[in-house]
Amino acid sequence: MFGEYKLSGELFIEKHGLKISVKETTKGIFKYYRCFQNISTIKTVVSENPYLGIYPLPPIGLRPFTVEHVYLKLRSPITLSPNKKTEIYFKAPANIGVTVLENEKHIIIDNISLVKEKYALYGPIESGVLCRFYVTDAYNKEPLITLSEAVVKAKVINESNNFIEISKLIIPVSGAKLFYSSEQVYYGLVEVIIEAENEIIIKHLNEPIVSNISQAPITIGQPKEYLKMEWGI
Amino acid sequence: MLEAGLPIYLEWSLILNIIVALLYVMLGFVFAKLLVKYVTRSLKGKVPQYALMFINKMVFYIIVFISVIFALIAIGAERYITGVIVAGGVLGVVLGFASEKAVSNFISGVFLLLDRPLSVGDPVEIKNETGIVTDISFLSTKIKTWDGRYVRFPNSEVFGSMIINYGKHMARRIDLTIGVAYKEDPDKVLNVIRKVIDEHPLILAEPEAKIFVDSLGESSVNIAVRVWVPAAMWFDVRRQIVSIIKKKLEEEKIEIPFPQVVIWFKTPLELK
Repeated sequence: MFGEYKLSGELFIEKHGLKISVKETTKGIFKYYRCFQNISTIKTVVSENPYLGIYPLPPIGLRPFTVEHVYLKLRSPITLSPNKKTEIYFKAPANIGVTVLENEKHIIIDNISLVKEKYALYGPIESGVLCRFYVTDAYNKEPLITLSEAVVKAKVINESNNFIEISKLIIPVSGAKLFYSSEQVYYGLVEVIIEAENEIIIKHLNEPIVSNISQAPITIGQPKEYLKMEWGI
Repeated sequence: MLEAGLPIYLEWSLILNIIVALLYVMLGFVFAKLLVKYVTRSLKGKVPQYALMFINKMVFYIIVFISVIFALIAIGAERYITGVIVAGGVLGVVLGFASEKAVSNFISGVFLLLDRPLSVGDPVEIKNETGIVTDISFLSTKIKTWDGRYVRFPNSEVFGSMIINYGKHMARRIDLTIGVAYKEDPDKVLNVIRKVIDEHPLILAEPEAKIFVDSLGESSVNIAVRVWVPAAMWFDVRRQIVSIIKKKLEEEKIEIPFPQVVIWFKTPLELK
């Protein structure tokens, strides 16, 4: 489903209940139509010789409300022994971005979320961080995902001399480029460095976690180098 | 020849100096504008909007002031500069006493910038007026009320009065009380409301929502609903959630009673 489609005549894509169709009504004028769970969007695109791009996007919400982080709540917490390194997989939400591409420039015309949208506040109400909220299990290998979900691989390093229980992860996703194959979506590698119980640094490294995947050419927001989880993990 | 040429030379020299002075002032303006742009670009997102506006105004006026000093030097008025500054100082003191309110507003404006109870774009309530802050200047704070009015408060009044800032925190709570009939199963009602809360994307998963039987009223069992939402979306969610809960309760055939009074007569009424 992900990739580029040459627009000429009529294009129709249907996947997991999501229907996207583009029809050229007159020369250079295209009618974009999208429908999911009886909610539809219609847009008119005026462009000569365009391509339609479908790519994964960071789930930073839809205007007027947007966030910059994803809050992954673990169904059951993980306990990590002192000075231990490990790799853990999670599932996270990913939006589907529809773009029009002309002269190597992408313009996002649609931003779709197929999984339930929910938000949460990490930290106190006066200075916390609003995040896209998602409940996931922890996996020791790449989990199976649905459309509008992504695989997250985290390299967790417990540098402290204590056992650390991980019940949540906050990942900065604003400005991050996601990776995709034709059906799967991946976040770039996430590094979690635990220095102490309330000193956790999370970096979204823009490195692919498997080979033979492409990097989405579009993103939303400004990238953030790292996040300090100062209100507990 | 010499006597005839001197005045012409002096005249041209004066014109040239005036042109140079004007150039200094113009360049000062251009440089001040460019510097303000640079400061804005450098500090945008790093300092609050109102502080940025304050810094920009300070930078602009300082540069313009310096360019005026240079212009005065260019026209040969440098010997008057000290006098001008001293006179300006004296005049400032005189004006200060004469315009006590303006000075008070200015100082309050500085305190507002340091104390930071509100920023441009914040939804606030000041002296029973609610709206969005559109500007905080040296002397006054302006808000655009929800019904579109422009309200200007002198800074001394803003600083001295109670300010409610609805957008200062990331999240804000919505409190609702929903009355249901005594015959209804409270657990079923709580579950219906909980489902509505879970399905609404902008009702935050954390801090957790609290839904509980709050009191036994005269005509209804009162259910308290306390949910947190992003502060910026408070009004929209508040508007939606009441309507959705009512619809869901109706779908589940849960009665929302209205106050009823049963009147008993001491002597039974007889129809004649």
